[in-house]
Amino acid sequence: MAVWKFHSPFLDEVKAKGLGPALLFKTNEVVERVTAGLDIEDIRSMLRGDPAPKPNPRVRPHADGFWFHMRPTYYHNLTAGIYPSFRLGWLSTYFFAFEIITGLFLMIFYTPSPLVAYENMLNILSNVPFGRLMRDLHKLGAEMMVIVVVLHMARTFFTGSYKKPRQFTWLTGVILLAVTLVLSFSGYLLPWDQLSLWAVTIGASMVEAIQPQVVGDFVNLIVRGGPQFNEGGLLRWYLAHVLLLPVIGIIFTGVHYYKVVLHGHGLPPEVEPVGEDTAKRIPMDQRTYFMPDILTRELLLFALVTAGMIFAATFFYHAPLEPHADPLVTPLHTTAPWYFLWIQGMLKIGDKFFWGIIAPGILTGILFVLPYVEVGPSRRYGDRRVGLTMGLVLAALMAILSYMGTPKYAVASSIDQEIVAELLPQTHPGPFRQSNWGEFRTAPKTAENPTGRATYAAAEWEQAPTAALQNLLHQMEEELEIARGKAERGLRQDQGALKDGQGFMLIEDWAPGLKRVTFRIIWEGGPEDGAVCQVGAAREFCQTTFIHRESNYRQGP
Amino acid sequence: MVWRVILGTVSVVFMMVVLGFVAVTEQDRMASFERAYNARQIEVGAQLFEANCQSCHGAQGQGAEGVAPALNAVDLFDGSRLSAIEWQGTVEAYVRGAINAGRPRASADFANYPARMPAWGQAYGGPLRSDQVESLVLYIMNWGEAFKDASGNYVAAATPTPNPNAVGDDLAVELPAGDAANGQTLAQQRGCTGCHVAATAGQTLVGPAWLAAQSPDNKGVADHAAERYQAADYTGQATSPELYLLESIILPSAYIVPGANYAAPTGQSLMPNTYTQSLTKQEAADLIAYLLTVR
Repeated sequence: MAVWKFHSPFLDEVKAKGLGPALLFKTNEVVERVTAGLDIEDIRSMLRGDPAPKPNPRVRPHADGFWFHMRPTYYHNLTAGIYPSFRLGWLSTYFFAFEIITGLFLMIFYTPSPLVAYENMLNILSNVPFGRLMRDLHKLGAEMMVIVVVLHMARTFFTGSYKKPRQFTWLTGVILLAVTLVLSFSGYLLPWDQLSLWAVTIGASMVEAIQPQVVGDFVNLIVRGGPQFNEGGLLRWYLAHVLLLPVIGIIFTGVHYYKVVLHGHGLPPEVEPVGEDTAKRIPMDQRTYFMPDILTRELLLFALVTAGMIFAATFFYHAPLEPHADPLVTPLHTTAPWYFLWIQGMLKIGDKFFWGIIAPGILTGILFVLPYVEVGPSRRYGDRRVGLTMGLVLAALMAILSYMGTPKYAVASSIDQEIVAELLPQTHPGPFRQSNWGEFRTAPKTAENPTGRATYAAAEWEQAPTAALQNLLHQMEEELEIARGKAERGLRQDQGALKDGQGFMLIEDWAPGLKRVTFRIIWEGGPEDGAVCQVGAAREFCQTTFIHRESNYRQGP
Repeated sequence: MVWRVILGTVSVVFMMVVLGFVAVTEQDRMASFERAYNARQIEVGAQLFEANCQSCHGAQGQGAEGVAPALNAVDLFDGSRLSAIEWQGTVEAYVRGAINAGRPRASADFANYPARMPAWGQAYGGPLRSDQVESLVLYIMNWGEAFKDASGNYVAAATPTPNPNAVGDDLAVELPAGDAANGQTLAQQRGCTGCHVAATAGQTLVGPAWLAAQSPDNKGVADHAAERYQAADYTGQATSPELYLLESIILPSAYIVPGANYAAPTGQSLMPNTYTQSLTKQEAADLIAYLLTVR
C-alpha cells in the first residue's frame, strides 16, 4: 500500500483549518504567485485607494515578475498624466498585440494561394462565426496602428524626446515605424482582390525603377516572386506579413521598451534645466507608482479602446473587399494606401527613380540619423524654433504630397468615364448599386421591346418615376452641367470638359431578378444615325452593368 | 480610482453586450452575405456571358439555330435534356463541366450544331478563372428561376401551340403557289445565305453552294435540284426538282450530297432540322420558287 501513499500539504491544511479557510488560503497563494508578489488583500487595498503600506508590496512584481519588470516601478508625477506622452507608445503596443491576436484568428481560415485566397475571404465572411468582425477589427486595428505610431513619432519629435540619452530609442522607434507601414502594406495583398493586386503592382513597379537597371530588375523579381505577380509573390508577402515583420517588430519592441525603462520617461521639456535629463532621479514626493495608478489607467484605456473598436467594427466600419484580382482589368484609378499617397504624389513630379526611391530613401535616412545629427542641447520649444518649424513644414508638405497622390491631381482621364464611375465605381459599391433595386423601373414588354427597355434622360431627372432614379440622374446631370460649363470655357475633354454632354440611363428587364442597366453619355450630338451604344461609336460612352434583386450592397462586404 | 474602475467595468460590460449581439445575429448575417454574394456573382456572370457567350448562345441564352443550343430553356433545368444523354449529375455540375472543358463533340440529341463549344476554364486551356466560371454557372442557373412554380419545381413554360400553317415534315404536303421575290427576302432573313452563299471570295461554305460560280461543278442550285433526284446514289423520296428542294429544307438528312463535309460525325446533316416548324407552307413555297431561279 505504500505505493499509494502520497503527501499533500493542501490536505494537511484542510485537516488543520477546515475546507473553507484552506481553500481561501490556497487561492491567495495562487494569486500571489501569478502576480509575482501581490496577494488578494494587497490588490483590494490598491483598488480601494489605500496609501501604500511600508514596506511596499506593490513594487515586488516589478522586481520579480517578467511582464512588470518591463515597466517602470514609478513615474514622475509630471509624466503620469496624458501630457506629454498622450499614451501613444502604449497604444502602439496595444494595437500591435491586437493585430497579432486578430491576425492569428484570420490565419486559421487563410491559405496563401491565388487559387483560394479570395474564396477564403468569402468563406470568412459567409461561413465563419465572428469572421467578418475579426476581419474588420484586424483592418481597423491596422489603420489605427499606423495613425497611432505616426502620432507617437511626431510627439517624440515635438517634445524633443529623441535627444540624448534617448537617441537609440528613437532609432529603434523608426525601425518600428517602418515595420508598421510595411506590415500594413503587406496585409493589403493577402485577400487577392483588385485593391491588393494593384496596390502591390504600383509598389513593385516603383522598385523596378532602381538604377542601375540590373539591380532594379533583381529587386523587382524578389518583390514579385517571379516575372508575373502570382503564387510565388503572394506566398512571400504572406510570410513577410505573418512571420518576418512580426518577429522584427517584437524584437525591436523589446529593445524599445528596455530603453524606456533604462532612461525613464522623459519629463515635459519645460520643467528640466537645459541640457539635463533628470528622468531617472524622481524625488520621493514626485512619484506616481505604477501600481495602482498607472496600471488602472492603462486597464481603463484598454477597456475603452477595445470596446470602441468592437463597437465600430460591428456597426460602422467594414473592411472593403473588391472584386477578385484580375491582371487584365485595370481599375480606373489605382491608389496606394493613404499612408503611402505622398510617395504616389512625388511620383507625379518627375523621375520614377529619384522621386520614388531616392527621395523617400533620403527622408527615411534623415529620420534614422536625426538624433545623432540634431544635437542641440535644449528640448524647450522656445529654443527649437527652426527644428519645430521644419517639422511642421514637413508635415504640411506630406499633406500636400498626399493630396497630389490622389486621382484628383494631375490624372488625365476622360470625363465621360469619370461621371459614370462616380455612380458606378469599379472598386466599391457606390450610389447606383446601393439604390433600391425595385426603383429601377422598366417599360412594359412588347414585341418591339422584348426586354422592356426604359430610357431616362439625365436632363429630365425630375420626371423620373422613382426617387432612386431621380437621385442618380440628378447627380449625373449636375456633373454634366459642370462638364458643359468647362467646354464653354474652352477646356479639353481630358480637362473635364464635355461639349453638349447628355446623359441617359437605359434599364432593361434581363433575367429573373436581374436588370441590365446601361449608363450612356453622348456629346456634340452623339452618334450620327442615332444608334444607341454601338461598338466603336464616336462621341458616345456606354457602360453596361447588371443588378440583381438580392445583391444587397448596402450591407457591406 | 473609483470612477476608473466603474468606467472600465462599464466598458467591459458594453463590449460583452455588443459581442452578444454579434453572436445572436451572426447566423443571419452569414446567410444574408451568402445570398447577396450569390446575387453579385450572377451580375458578374451576366457581364461575362455578354462578353464571351452571347455571340453563339444569344443575348439572353435563347440559343441560335445551327450554332448553339438554348440555355434559357426549361428542358435544361428540369433535367430532361440531361437524362436524354444519360447524365448522372446535377444540372449545375453539367453546366460547370461544359463551360470548363468545352465540348469535344456534340451529344447525339444536339447533333445539328456543327461548331464545337471551346474550353473556357483556365485548367482546360481556356481564358476564365474558376471564380469566373462559377459566376457564369450561377447566371445560367438563375434563368431556371423563371421556370419554377410556387413550390419550387420546374415546370415547362406554356408550350407554344404548333403552328397550323407550318410546313411539317411530310413530303406530300400541298404547297400554295410560291413568290420568288419573297423567297429571296426569306433566304436572307432566315440566314440560309450564311451557309450557302459565300460573302467573300475563297470562303469555305458549310453547305452546298447555291451560285454556279461558287460551286465546284459550276452548276447552281436550280440545276442541282433538277439533276440530283435522278442520280444513281440518291437516297431520298423526291420525284421532282420542287420536291427535292422541299425535302432538303424539311428533311435535310434524307439525302446528303457526297463529297464535301456536309454531315456531322453522327451521319446527320449539318443543316438544322427545325424548319418543319419555323417555316409556313407559304414561306417554303416562296423559298422553293426563289431557289428554282438561282443558277
